[in-house]
This record gives sequence, C-alpha cells and structure tokens, in this order.
Amino acid sequence: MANRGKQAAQSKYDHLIKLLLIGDSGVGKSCLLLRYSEDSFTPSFITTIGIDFKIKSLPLEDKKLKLQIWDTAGQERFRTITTAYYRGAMGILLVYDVTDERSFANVKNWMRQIEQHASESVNKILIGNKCDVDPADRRVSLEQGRKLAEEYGIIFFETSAKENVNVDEAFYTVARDIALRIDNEVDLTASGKNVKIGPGVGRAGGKECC
Amino acid sequence: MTSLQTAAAEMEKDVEFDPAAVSIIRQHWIDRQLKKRELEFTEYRTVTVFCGTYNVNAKIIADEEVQRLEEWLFPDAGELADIFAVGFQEVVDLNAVNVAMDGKSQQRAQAWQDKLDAVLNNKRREERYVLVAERHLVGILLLVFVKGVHSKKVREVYGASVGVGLMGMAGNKGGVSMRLKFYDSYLCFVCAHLAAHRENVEGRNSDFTNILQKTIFVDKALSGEADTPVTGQGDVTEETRKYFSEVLDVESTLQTGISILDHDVVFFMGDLNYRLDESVDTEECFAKLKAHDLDFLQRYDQLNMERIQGRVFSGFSESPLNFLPTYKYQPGTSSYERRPEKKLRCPAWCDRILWRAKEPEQVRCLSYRRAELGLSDHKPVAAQLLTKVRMVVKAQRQEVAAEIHRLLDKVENDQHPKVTLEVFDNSTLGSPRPLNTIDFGLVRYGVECRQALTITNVSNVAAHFRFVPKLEEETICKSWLSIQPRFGMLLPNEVGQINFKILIDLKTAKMLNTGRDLLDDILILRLENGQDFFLSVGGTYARSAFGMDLEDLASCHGPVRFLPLTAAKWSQFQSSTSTADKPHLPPTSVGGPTLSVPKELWRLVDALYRRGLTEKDLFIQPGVLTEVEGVREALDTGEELEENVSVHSLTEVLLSFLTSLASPVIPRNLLPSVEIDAQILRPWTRRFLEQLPPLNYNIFVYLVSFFREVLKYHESNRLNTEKLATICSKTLLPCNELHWGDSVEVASGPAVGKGEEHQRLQSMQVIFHYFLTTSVF
Ligand SMILES: Nc1nc2c(ncn2[C@@H]2O[C@H](COP(=O)(O)OP(=O)(O)OP(=O)(O)O)[C@@H](O)[C@H]2O)c(=O)[nH]1
Ligand SMILES: [Mg+2]
Repeated sequence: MANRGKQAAQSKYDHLIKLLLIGDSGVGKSCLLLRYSEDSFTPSFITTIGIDFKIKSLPLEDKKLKLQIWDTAGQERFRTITTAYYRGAMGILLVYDVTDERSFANVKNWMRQIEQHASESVNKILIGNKCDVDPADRRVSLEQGRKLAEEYGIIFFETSAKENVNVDEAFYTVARDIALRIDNEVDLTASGKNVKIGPGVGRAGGKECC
Repeated sequence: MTSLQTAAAEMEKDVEFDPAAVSIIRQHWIDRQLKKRELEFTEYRTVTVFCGTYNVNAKIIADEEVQRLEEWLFPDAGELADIFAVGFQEVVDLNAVNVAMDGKSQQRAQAWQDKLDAVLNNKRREERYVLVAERHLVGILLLVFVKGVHSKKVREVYGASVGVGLMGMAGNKGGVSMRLKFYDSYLCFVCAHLAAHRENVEGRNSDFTNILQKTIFVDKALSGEADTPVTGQGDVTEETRKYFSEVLDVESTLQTGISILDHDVVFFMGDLNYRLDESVDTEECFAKLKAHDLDFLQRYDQLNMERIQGRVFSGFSESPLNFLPTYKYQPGTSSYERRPEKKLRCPAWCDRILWRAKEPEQVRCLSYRRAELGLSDHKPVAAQLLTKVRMVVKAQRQEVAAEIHRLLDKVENDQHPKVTLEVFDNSTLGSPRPLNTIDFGLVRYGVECRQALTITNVSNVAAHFRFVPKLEEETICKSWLSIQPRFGMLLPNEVGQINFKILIDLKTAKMLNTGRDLLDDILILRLENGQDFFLSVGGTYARSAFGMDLEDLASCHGPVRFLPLTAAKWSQFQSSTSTADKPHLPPTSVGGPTLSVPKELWRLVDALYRRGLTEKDLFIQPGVLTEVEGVREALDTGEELEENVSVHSLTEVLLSFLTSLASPVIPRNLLPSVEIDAQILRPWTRRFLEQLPPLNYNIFVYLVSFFREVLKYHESNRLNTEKLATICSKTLLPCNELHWGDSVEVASGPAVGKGEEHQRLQSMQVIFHYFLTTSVF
C-alpha cells in the first residue's frame, strides 16, 4: 500500500529517452537538434559553450517516447568537461561533417571517449552531416562513412540539417532501438507486471495511434 | 502497519503526482486537436454502395436460376458496386419452431450466402467479392460483401441483432446490423423487418425506435483485423484506469455503446411494412397504378407521411419511389395478388432503403428501383448509393501530428529556465568579449582583481543556478578564484550579479612563476532543469619576484616580469643558466653569471640604507597599501623606485619579499636540533655559516650586516637587537605554509613536535642575537 504512489511515479507510461549529440565543433550538432525539434535552420554559426537539452515527443505506433536530447559543446577545450554528461545517455549520436576530413578522422577519438565514459549498453549512431553540399566540397564519401560505421558495428546516416535530409530518420532509428532494448530489459526483469489493453475500437471517426 | 502509517500512505497516494494521468489527458488533447484538423489530412474517395432488400417469403432460389439475381444486384450500366449490403426477410417461415431454433435459419442464411457469392464471383467478370460478415436473426439476414481490392480496408467489423415485436424479443420481427470501418469512415448497415398490418403504423414506428435504441455493438470482431491498441501499455494504477475508463477501456467504450447513429453513414433497408394510408381505397389504388400515377400514391405512403410528421426515420433520406409497389404479388408472377380466394390487399411499398449521413452531401443516390424476380410475394428492391468515404493520408496526418507535438514540445521546453549572461566590461572600452569568457587581463601578485557578470532570467519560470565542480573534481574552481555568490535563484526577468575575484597568494604565485599553473579555468554554471554554461575564466599573470626561488632570482639579471612563462621554457631557462650556455635566451632575462644577492633584495636594502636608517619605528610600522603595490611592481618591472615612497612601505615589501621566497633563506635542515647554550654557541654558529649554501650565505650576511647598521641608529629608529632577532626569525626561517607545506621538504626531515619546534625557534633567536651583536663577518 505504502509504495503504491511510488509505482505510479515511476510509470513507464511514457518512455523518457536521453540522447547525446557529440562531435567536433562546427559539424552541425546544434543545427541537427534545431531542425529536429523546431524544424528550422540558421546558417550562422554560434558555437555552443556549455550543454543544453531539448524535449521532443516521438509518438510511435505502440508507445509514446519522450526524447531528451542533449547538445554538447564540440570545442577541444571542453572535451574533458563534456565527458561528464556521457553517463546518463542511453543513445549517442556521433556527428562528423562530410566537408571536413578532420572531423571524420576524429570519430575514432570520440568513439574512445564513448568507450571510456558512456554506459556499456549505450546505443550509438554515426552521422555524416551536411550531405547537401556541392560534391566538389565533399571530403568524406558516403562509402567511407558507411565503412567506418560498419567497422564499429553501428548505424549510419548521412544527413543534412539544412535541407532536412534524414534528420527525423536518424533520431527515430536510435530512439526506437533504445525503446526496444529497454522493453526487452523490462521484460527480462519484471515480467508479467504490465497490464496490456486489448484491441481498440474507435467510435465514429474514432481515435487512433498517430 | 500502524494506522498512522496507513493514513500517511493514503495521503501520499492522494497527493501523488500521477504521470500516467498527465499522459492520458495529454493524449486525449492531442486526439481532439487531430480531429479538429482532420480536413488537412483527409481525402475522400467515392465508392458505390449497393443496398438491396428482399422479403423472400421463405422461398429460396434454385441454383440454376441464380443468374436471375443479377437483375437485382447489378445496375443496367456502369460499374459494379464496391460494397454489397444485401438484406433478406423471411428467409424461413416465421413459425414458432423457427423462432425458437436457429438451425433452419442458419441453413438458409448459408444457402443465400452461397448463392450470392456465386453470382458476385461469377467467372464471367473480373471483379471478385469477399464476404465481410453474415448475420441473421430468425428470418432476417444481412450479408455484406466488398470488392476484393478493398478487403484490407475493412476493419472493426461488429454485428448486432435486436428482436422486437409482440411475441416478444424473440425476433420474428426486428433488425440485424453490421458496422465496419471502411477506409477511415464508419459505416453501419441495418436490415429490418418491422411490424405488419396496414393499420399498425405506430407498431412499425416503435419497432424502428426500438431497433435504434437497442442495437449496441459489443461483439468481438466478426472478421477483419482489429486496430492497434489506442493507448500504450504501462503502469497505470487502478484508480487512474477507472477514472479514465472512457478513453482507456475498450470494454466500457463498447458498453456505453456504439450505436447505429454513431456512424458516418447508416444504410437502413428492409421490409419496413409501411402501406398506403387507409384513406386510399384499394380499388382507387389499383386505378392509380393503372394510370401510373405514382406521385399520387407516394403522397399516401405511410412512411412518407410519418417522416413528414417527424415521427420516424428522422434524419434519414430516401429517393423518390419511381417504381411500382413491391407488395403483394402472386408468387412467381408479375401480377398483384387479386385472386378471389385470397384476402384482397392494397399494393404497398413495403420494401424500402433509406440512408442517413452525418454530412448530407456524403451520399448520392444513383438509382432506386425494384427487380422483377418472381420468387416471393414481394419484389426485391435495390439502391445504388454513391458514398464518399474518408481516407486518412498517413503522411499528411503524421505531419499534422508532428506540428501538434512541436507545439506541445515548445510549451514544455519553455518551462525550462533560461538565462542570459553578460560580462561587465570594465577594462578596455568597446572591445566586445565572447559571452562566456571572463578575462581579468593582467593579474599581479597580491593585488585583488574583480570581474562580474550579470545573469538575467529570460524565462517564465524561476531559475535556480549554481556552480558545480567538473567531473572528478571537488571544488568548483581553482584556489586563486573566488565566486560570490556560488548559487542563487532568480524570478522571471530578475537580474542578478555574480562577482569573481582573483587574489594570487604565495602558493599560487609559486605555481604560476614556474609555469606549473596558468591563470585559466573553466567553470560550470548549472541551471537546474536547464542548461549548463561553461565559463572560461582567466588572465595573464604578471610574473613577480614574490614567490620565486632564490636561485632563480639570483640567476635573473633583468626584470622578473619578462621571463618566459611556461613550465617548459622555465626549465629550459634554468638549465641554460646553470651551464652558462645562453645564446638562445632573450638578453633581458639573463645578463651574466649568478648575482651575489637577488637584485630585488639589493634594491630594497639600498634604498633603506640611503633613506631609512633613522626612521622612527623602522620595521615596526606598516606601510601604505598602494605604495606597497607600487614598490612591488617597480621591483618586478625594473622601473625606478619612487623617491617619495614612505620608508615603512619599503620595509613592508622587504619583509614580505623574504617571507614569500619559495624556499627560505635558512634551510630547514640547518635549524638547531639541540639547545644552544653559551658553550656551544660559537662552534655551532661557525658550522652554521659553513653549511649555508653560497647564495643563502651571501644573503644572510648581507642582511645581518644591514641590520647591524640599522642598530647603530637605534636611538632614532627605536629598534633593538631583540626586535631585529624576532624579525629575522619571522622572515628568514621556514615559516610560511609554503615552506612547511611542501611535501618534499617535510618528508626529508624527521617529524617535529610542537614543543620541539618552539625550542628550535628559541635557539634560532639566540643565534640571530649573537650574529647581530658580534662581528663574526
Ligand atoms: N551546408 C550545411 N551547413 C550546415 C549543416 N548543418 C550545420 N551547418 C552549418 O555548420 C555550422 C555549424 O553548425 P552548428 O550546429 O552550430 O555546429 P556544432 O556542431 O553545434 O558546433 P559546436 O557547438 O561548436 O560544437 C553552422 O554555420 C551551420 O549553418 C548542413 O546540414 N548543411
Ligand atoms: Mg553547437
């Protein structure tokens, strides 16, 4: 009886999923987040000095996810400080810039940071941003990105925050995978506790999952 | 559990914030928003719905004659219908046995279903039809077929049967209904058989009302796939579940009932049994029929009259009756029943098809006719109804849903505190600084530097801010910095100020002088439930003779300020001076071999020698703060000492210079470990002098000589040997925390107790006294 209130407070009615954006300064982390959460883009570069988050709800077919997406400062001098934020992350989006070889070469350093500081089960995704650019300005090919991701065994997307290419898809994919992982973990630990609701019937013009 | 605990638990439960409730309410709101904006993601598609009704009078058509059904089911021209809703009445005799037992009905229902199936799926035609569901109640049968291409778009199929009429409920009269979701519209089909007898209009009216009221769809899906659950799973407490049962619980939704009129379109067909008004004489009727005056007869149709009076079928539509009355025929013929042995009946439009659409323009009747099949005493009736059904365009709906969620997310994100930071620029005018950098410019030893930033709450909620340590650190900043306040709260629009102060103490000075530390730090300013700011704090340390090593000072000929700064350069500088190999060093840093005493010391002593020997309360009275800072600065930069500086300021700088040295003039290991008495005084002091390192020796001798000079003027400067010996103890011995705190030095000597310590100082006092009064050098 006494812990009944607590149970309600820990409700998994909405999954809260914490995601973290990391990668070199200028690769477009903040732009990706802005595109994803507010569907807008600004070409001017204001480097992030600190760490900020946005809430984004992501209603899936069978469950409602609430994403808490943390945007970190990519500048070298903040690197050790930002690793403090890896711990709580359930998913990490590692971003490089397809027009910047250095940012791509640094992916391995970022991966090392993840290994050292993030939880072992964290879901990772590699993102090559700015795929909208003129092919002449490209320094990292789609194939290179894909290959690297394969080596690490993680998902890969080329995106454009500017032209809104694959942004939803990238966030969606990692969030969905995390939700699945968590569901499995829950099933393993506390099986049979969930109350499932039977098939729904709408009234005329009824409701439906969106 | 005590009653008190129980009460507490109850209370906790009552006041507990329930995220599930929030989530459900929120979802409900989202659903309503979506409903409001339905048009933005809805497209319409027009389909043809065939409705047919046939009172077969317990007959069944022979297999070899089924093709004759085509005349009824198929239009003269145009496409075949997308949906066939075919209703029958009296598929069996309405005798007591059939009413009580389903067997015969079941069998006939199956037979009609097979025959219709055979006709609809005749190999001569391409179209294929699948049965959605069959439902029957005694003599009433309803079959719904859809074209194969639509079969995936049929969902949520439910059926219901309602028996009405005198013999009670059992269902010689009544209605069977079927509802389904077709694309995204909800359609309902009703097949009814209402009360008979010409005079019993009220009975028919009330049968209709009964069917509407009692038909509630509760059955499990008869076929088709069910939709995915409306609400997600999760830990919803029992109370919450109960409270929100109408949106959560499918069962209760069904119990409160989906009824016939809840649908977008209702198709109502059957032997409704309405006749001609009794004012029309049977013979007159036959005359009018002969004259083909259907207009006249329609006016006296009981159903039309009742509808005009608003007593039945309100909201329903029907096409004009442009066909002959369908009852009562001589079976197998096309002549009305007028045989003398039979009861004479006035022909009537018993068999009817009506519809009701939420949006009236949704349905248009293409044709309303009868077929001439001669099976029964009724003729079958058919209506071809063009019906607009809704189709939700998934992508567009998702876009609208995304917009709604963005709006919600914005509201939620706006509930997080936000602040802006502004650095006060009190140095160079108009040089804009990066927002997150607090630059102290040049920072000097012992001189307090201040900077401030304003923090403005630009959100609608209270902002709680505090500085937090970096990962694996315990303090929020380095020791040379202090922050005031370290935390605070700001109401919306409130502006606060955070003050930063740098004061370089000896320990820091030593680290900075040797390049082991930099005036550079990053602070984390955390907004609870909001963002973290990284603030870079820094300045350029003005290197100073204070906090330096004697050796380093002595090897440095130029002003200390301009020495290379980094740790690497520093060691390079040291090694090159010791080997006297110095061509790559700047000429200002090194001017020759090691000096006999640091020039800073020499400059101070020299000035005092010239101006201060007779000053009253020499070494006792403190100096003036600004002058002290000025003298220090001059020593570090090599500028001239100002002539009018008070002597006391000079003495203060001299004493603080000596105590600031990174290592004391008299090393720790030279302190006496035994009590010094008159006997051992001489030999001990000799050994003491021998053991002093050369540079320390120089300085010691230099200072003692100067103090002896000072003592010559004791009448005017009021100093005495005692006082000077004390000053020596305080400045030349390892006394400040730096000297003691350095772990290497402490570790080298044996642990020293408090009393022993005091004893040593006592002894040194004796020794200093001796040197000040004896001309040993
Ligand atoms: N062409 C193109 N430019 C982009 C894209 N995304 C971001 N940019 C530009 O890249 C610059 C940097 O973007 P930010 O999102 O601020 O970079 P960041 O990764 O957050 O950088 P830090 O905050 O310093 O770590 C900006 O000038 C953006 O306009 C993209 O998809 N295409
Ligand atoms: Mg950024």
